[in-house]
Amino acid sequence: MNKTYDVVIVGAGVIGTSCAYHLVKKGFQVALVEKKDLARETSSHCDAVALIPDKMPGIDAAMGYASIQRFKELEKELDYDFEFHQNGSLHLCETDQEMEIATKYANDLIAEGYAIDILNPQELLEKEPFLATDLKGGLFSHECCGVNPYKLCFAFVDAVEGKGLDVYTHTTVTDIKRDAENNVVGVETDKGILKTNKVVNCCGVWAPEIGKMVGIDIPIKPRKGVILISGAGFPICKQKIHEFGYMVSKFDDIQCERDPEAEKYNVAFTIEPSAGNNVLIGSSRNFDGYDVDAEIDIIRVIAKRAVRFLPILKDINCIRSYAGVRPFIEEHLPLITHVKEIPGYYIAAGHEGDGISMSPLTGRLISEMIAGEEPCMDVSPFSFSRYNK
Amino acid sequence: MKQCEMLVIGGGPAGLSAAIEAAEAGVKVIIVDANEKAGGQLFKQIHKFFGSSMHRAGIRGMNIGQELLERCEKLGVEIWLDSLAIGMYKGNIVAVDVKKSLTEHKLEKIQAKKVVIATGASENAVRFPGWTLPGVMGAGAAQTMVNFHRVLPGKKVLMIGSGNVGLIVSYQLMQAGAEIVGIVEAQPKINGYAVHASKLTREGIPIYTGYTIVEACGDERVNKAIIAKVNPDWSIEPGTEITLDIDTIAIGAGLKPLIGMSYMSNCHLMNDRFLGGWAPCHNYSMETTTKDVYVAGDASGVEEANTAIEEGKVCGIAIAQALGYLEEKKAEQMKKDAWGRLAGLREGAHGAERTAAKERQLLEYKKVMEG
Amino acid sequence: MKLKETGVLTTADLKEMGRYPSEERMKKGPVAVAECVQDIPCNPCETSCPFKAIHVGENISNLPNVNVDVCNGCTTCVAACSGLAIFVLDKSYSDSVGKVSFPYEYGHSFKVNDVVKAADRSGKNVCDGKILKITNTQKADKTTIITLEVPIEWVDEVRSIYRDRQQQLVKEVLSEKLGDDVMVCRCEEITAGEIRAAIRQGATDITGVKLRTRAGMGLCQGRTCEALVNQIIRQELGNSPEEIGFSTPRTPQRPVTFGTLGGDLDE
Repeated sequence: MNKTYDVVIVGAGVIGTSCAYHLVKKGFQVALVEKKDLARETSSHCDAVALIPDKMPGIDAAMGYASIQRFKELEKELDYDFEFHQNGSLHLCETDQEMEIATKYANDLIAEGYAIDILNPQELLEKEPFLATDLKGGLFSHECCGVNPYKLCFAFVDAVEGKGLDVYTHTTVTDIKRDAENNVVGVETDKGILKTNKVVNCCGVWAPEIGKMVGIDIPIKPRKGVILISGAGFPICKQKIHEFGYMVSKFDDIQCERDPEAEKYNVAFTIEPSAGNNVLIGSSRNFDGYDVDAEIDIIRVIAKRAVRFLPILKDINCIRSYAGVRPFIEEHLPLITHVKEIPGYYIAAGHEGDGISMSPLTGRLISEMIAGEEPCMDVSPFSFSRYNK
Repeated sequence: MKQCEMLVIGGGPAGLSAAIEAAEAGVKVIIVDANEKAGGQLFKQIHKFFGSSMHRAGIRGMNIGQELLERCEKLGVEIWLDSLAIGMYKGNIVAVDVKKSLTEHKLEKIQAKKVVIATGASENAVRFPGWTLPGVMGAGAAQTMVNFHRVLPGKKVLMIGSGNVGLIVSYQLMQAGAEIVGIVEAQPKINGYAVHASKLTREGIPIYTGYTIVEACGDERVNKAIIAKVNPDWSIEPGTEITLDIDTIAIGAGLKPLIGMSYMSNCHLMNDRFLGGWAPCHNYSMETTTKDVYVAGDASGVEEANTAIEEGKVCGIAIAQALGYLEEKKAEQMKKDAWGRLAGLREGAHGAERTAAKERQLLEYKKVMEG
Repeated sequence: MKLKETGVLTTADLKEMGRYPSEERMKKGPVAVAECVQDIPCNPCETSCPFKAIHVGENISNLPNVNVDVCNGCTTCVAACSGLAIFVLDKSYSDSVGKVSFPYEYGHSFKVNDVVKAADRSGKNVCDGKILKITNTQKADKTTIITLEVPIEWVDEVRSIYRDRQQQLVKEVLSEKLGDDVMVCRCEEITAGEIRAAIRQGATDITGVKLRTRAGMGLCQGRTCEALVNQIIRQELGNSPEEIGFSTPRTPQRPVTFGTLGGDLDE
């Protein structure tokens, strides 16, 4: 240890590894410091899709689209297979009211140029024959894609490790060193000091801890999500499927009536086929600190919702469940920012459920900021200065 | 949600004994057991147990099992069969998948003041070419087939491992009519008790000490096994290979505690190879570092049925005491007696290591609780 | 003594340890010999003896001592011994033949007066023997005691009835299977080679291997392959069990259908 780096990244989840990749690509000498191991927390306790129809029209959807384009490029750039696939996604409407909201919402996205089909019940069943027959319709988005989230982390690291990137796993950051003018001068760890003028806090739900080290309050809260996994078997669905109510659990400003039990834990049905020939079924969103127990009541409601939308699941085995904590931020906008009060201190965190899909873009923006280049998109909404008003 | 005073997960020797001891003092107990019959491994242990008269020595395991079940019945212990505990959660809540009929299952939630984890252990696998062929199985699985389901797993059996499980299961397979083609032991010495080995050798069963299985062969199922001498560095000594005609390979490579419930209830686990690997540490009352969660039997470190029985008793006594059903002085004496019997069982050639390992568990508990 | 290597005790071993009755005693009449030379925590021999002829003592791991002056060879202990390690020998019968009583727990169709092949402690047929007695008492709980008449020089050796085993030992050249082809995770069909590749890519523990290979993600959730993966990591990297960790247990501990999971609860 005791080496000097251009940039030290703290946290080796998908955001940290993406930042590492993009910074090395720009020629920086980078250290990636991780308390545990690559992709051990949120990035391996989630599902991973880059979607359009779960984003609000406007900047949100534009970023979703940009991410998908970027994944396509990354698939060619990176040797390590991160299981990229683009086979679209389906959103299901349970009630006429939901269908009405969905239609209006889809039309807004279509107007922005996205490839979305509005499906009637018949068309829905043609796409996915095992769906419940009483659904009112849905949306099909052609461009949606999926990746394996933790393999994406491995792929980022694999591409640049030893070529400008040093990885320090099982290494705990204990302090961020600053000089008299508050400039970052180093990162102190339990294994020694890394000298640097630039540090990027990519610690997701733990970002506030690294924030405290420089006296700033990062308003990220852990929000738990539970996922169930089926045993491997015949393919029961061909693409990612979500209930449209998912939108409601994500954004509180879409009003819609939903199952009261699902409401309690913010449970919305999602399913995606995995490379292992099983399915990942979600999801829930609730605040429970850093606890990652998958409680039985959440599991029950997720299973119940899943059987409601895909009745065939009734007799299919669940073999595992897990919970992860997502970095929730009130405004539903991540922090991808330099903290100007502490020159050299950057934050890339707070993506909640969009971390995987936004990771390529986030890494790129951070690398552009550190390189002093004009960012490829307007980064003002992601600035930390939004809290200084 | 069902409420109870004491919930025991696993109705083997440890769980049944815990339940009996507590129920005798007046505690209301529910046992959930994943199998169609409670008793754990006891009903496949058709041999007479070691120990002294206070440990029911000389009685066959299956008869001890019967005795424990009768005691439970008399004491009004509620036993849920075909009831698989699928997880444990905050507030001592256990979710159970209950088989209601051939086609119907139902999820039940039970909340208990005290929980005993007595889930036992699972068998270790050994990796060699062909170990996934049909006909290759755990020694415990072979024992279940032959003694519980009354199905002979094969006619010509090769046993891997000369621990007590390997030796006893070989003997019982012979009793049921199988031929034991041989017992392979990679160590230079037989692992289990010599008397168990001698029962086999006087029937002409070869024990290949210092040999390892090199390969299991066969297309549809295993029909040949190649064994060979191992060097101290675990390499194969060329030219010592022996091919055996067999139809079954049973692997008695030891057991590891089932730690699912302990992990999910946040018990502090420690690794000790003399107890089969990871297991929760506990105190003198068999309580884990998670308050109100107790552990007994193989789930607290792999030993044997009669130590499981005594550990179960300690749990039952401690819980009855904690719930106010037993006065302290009496309970402490009863626990002391049980620990005395445990010490007796942990004496002898095979006991010293286990005794030391158990002491490490108690010490670790203290360390964790004192921060 | 080669007992630990072979599983076979010899008369010479027992004599050397002073645990074998004298010729003189055997010539006087039946006497028990406890061929129990390891300190096993066990004492039913002591408690079963109606004549208090066997002593183990407070520490039940002590070896049993037979008081040959008190023992009358009643065979109660033969059935009581959980290790089936007690025999009753008698050389008082005649100058040419003696008697051996041993426990027998196999199914059989022997009858008194049958002539059978007798086996020594290694299972070898050493002589013929005539069945004098087949005892099944309720107390013995299904442990039969067979008494054989054998030539007097074989009384010290005969301990069972010979079984004919067609054991063929064939020397064969090993098939050169690479260790890398061996399956490790059978649920997800992951080989040792794939596990080693994951370790080369940076995996240092069970979870690291699992994320890179899917080993342990299948139906059994690592119950079977965890120990095998552990062994490979240990071999490749020399990591400690604490560093290697274990497969994180999760709900459900065994597969359960989504229908059951999502079914209604009793309140």
